[in-house]
Amino acid sequence: MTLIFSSVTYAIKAQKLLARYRIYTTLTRTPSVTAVRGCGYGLKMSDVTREVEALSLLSGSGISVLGTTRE
Amino acid sequence: MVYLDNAATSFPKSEDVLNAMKEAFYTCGNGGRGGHPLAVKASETIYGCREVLSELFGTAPERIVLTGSATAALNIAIKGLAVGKGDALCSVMEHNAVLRPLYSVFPRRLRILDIDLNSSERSLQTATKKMKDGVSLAVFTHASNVCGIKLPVKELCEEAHRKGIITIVDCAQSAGHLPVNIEELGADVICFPGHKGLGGAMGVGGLAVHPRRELNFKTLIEGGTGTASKDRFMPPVLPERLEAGTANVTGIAALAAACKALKLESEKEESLRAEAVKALKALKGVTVYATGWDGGYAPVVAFNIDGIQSEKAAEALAEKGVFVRGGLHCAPLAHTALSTGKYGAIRASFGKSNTAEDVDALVKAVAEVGKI
Repeated sequence: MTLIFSSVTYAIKAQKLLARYRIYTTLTRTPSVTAVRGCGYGLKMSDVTREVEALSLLSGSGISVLGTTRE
Repeated sequence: MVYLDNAATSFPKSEDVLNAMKEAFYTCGNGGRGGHPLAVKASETIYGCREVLSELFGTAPERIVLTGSATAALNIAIKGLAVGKGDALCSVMEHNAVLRPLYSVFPRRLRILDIDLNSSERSLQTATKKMKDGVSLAVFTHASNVCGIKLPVKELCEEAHRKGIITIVDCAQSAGHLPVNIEELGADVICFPGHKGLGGAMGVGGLAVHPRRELNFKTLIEGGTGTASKDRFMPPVLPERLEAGTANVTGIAALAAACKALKLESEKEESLRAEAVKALKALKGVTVYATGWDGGYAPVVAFNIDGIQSEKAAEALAEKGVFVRGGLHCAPLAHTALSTGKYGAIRASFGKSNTAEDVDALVKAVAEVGKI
């Protein structure tokens, strides 16, 4: 599962925030974002069971997630 | 060699700064431009710099915009926030990095604030009058690069904010020397160089945006951001909106290393400045400027030796191993205010590496050059 962000800055900010809650992710270029908007960054989550928690943490910190993919 | 030109650039730089540059040089690709490990390393390096700067200046990492210099940051901020038909306001103490963009955007709508060199309070009262009706943008230097006087920026920004005026503060001479917190200053934007008080390498500066104020920046430079490539316009979000093109990742790594190691030494630097003022004033035939200011100083002293033009005097001091700067320091109005508009002044500026012995060496060399 990949969370998509508006920029690499927000992707890294989100990655650092999630890591504080032991939700580990990998920074990635996401083909689905590229297809729609032309290039973008996402965070690939290794533990998909924590998707809801991750989204909630990000939302609570004012970090916008543009969408999610399961590619 | 006694280096007293820290207002131009800090010297020497630390070994850690050089090592950080080297590491980035050998390990980083292009930040924000790919997903492979070298690109990711560069993106992380850049974000790391935003983080440390955001902690230093009191805002969020995404509100730190990295540029090639403080001048670039000031241009981006001034031209990006110059909206509507309002006038602009700045002080006589501004550097050309502020004056020239303002003259360019507001050729007939620039109000210039005189500074009473003996009273920050009276200067503030004059500013309040100048802010009446029709000012949309105010730009103030935090501290003069010529004589070091620290403007009452907090009060100026407070007054401007009350009147709905956007404020930009030029922290070229304060960042890394004095405490600079954007919320405490109350500015909308502050601009800073990486290579002066902060101790980084040349080629990186930036601007910081207030943590809670929403500003609509017009873009000055458009181009690649590594994201949303199909959009015809620059992305709306900071920092990418104002950062088209490849970032100077080696310089940014250096700035991050410098800021991580940064310890403000404001008291020591002020004590060196004050000691230099006292000793230079005691020399017959030496004029020291702006010594009656009551609002505090950055560690900068301006003076002249009677009968010797400042550039000549600076050259003679350099021959004696004391490196200072003569001339107008790219701040012509400040020199007019100091009555040194024709030939400028000698500027000695202190940094973290300076000692009391450096002040003694300066004073001794000045006495010799002036045959005092």
